[in-house]
Amino acid sequence: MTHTLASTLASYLKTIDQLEPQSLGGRQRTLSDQDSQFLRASLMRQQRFNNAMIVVAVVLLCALFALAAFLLLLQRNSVNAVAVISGTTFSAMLGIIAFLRRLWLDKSAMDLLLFACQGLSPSEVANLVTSFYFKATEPRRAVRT
Amino acid sequence: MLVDPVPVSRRVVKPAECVLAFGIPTTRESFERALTVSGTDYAKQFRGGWSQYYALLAKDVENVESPLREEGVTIVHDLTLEGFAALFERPFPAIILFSHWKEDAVEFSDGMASAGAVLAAVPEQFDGILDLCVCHPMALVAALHKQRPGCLVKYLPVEAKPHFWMYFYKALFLHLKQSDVSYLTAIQEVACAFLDTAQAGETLSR
Repeated sequence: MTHTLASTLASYLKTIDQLEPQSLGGRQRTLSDQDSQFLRASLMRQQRFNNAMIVVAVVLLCALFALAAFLLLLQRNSVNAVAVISGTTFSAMLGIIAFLRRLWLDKSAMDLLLFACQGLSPSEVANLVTSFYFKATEPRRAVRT
Repeated sequence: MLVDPVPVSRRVVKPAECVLAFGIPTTRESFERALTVSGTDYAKQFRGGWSQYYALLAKDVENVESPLREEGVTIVHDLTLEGFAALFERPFPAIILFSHWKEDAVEFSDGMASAGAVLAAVPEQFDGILDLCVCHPMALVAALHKQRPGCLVKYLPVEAKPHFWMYFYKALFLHLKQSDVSYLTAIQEVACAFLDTAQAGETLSR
């Protein structure tokens, strides 16, 4: 999960009082459709941003490939130049693909959560998002049982 | 029972003479049990299950427990009402009940206990400090003041976040270890230190 998706979910959890421990005398907040609508609006805003980022990353990937092909043809007689261009291009492409993969995972999670917002009750949405957020953001560790 | 001639309000108290007892779940096993016990309330307020409960509360308990045990504090997990009554058999000068309050009842691992049931668990001759780290237990405090006049009660009239209080008690027991002061003086001094730190933080952030 990227930092931006985590922030989006954290702002929702904050509105439903699930981002901090419950007080030792408090009551659970009652949820309404407005809470689910807030989450839906936040996720859609985040999804639009992520879609734009995917387009930028794909364009960058294509441009990098074209530039590399052009430079390789231009420097085809120099073994050293070909090695440097190939290595640099490969490294840059790996970075972009890793970034795209994270965006794609976020997109899948957001699609699922948006679908849940439509079909589930506010209480069930809150349970789902809270479980997802804490399981996805907490590093794996041995916990006392 | 031997009676100390110095009242507990002025007696020097060391961490080894104190007990910190948790009525709310602190382990995965007790958390999952609390979800099935009817009447318990606190664990059910965490919608994200154990991963959320661990991240927001149990992790802090783990962090604080080891240093407190090293200071000699007796830590009790999964406190039942019966277990709470048993704490008074060994005369600890200070008993801290760390739990949840809902509708005039305190949460124990075996369910909610009414203020009357908690009062009945406190012996009439108890002359130590009962530190109620539960939010606004006013009905219980009033009953203790009236029917257990020897018992000094510390309580929170406002809602409290557990992670704050975990670290407050860590600082309190460190202070009790390092200084020869009474429990009440230590609470006052640590609270003042926390307030000073908070005010300094606010001043810096401006």
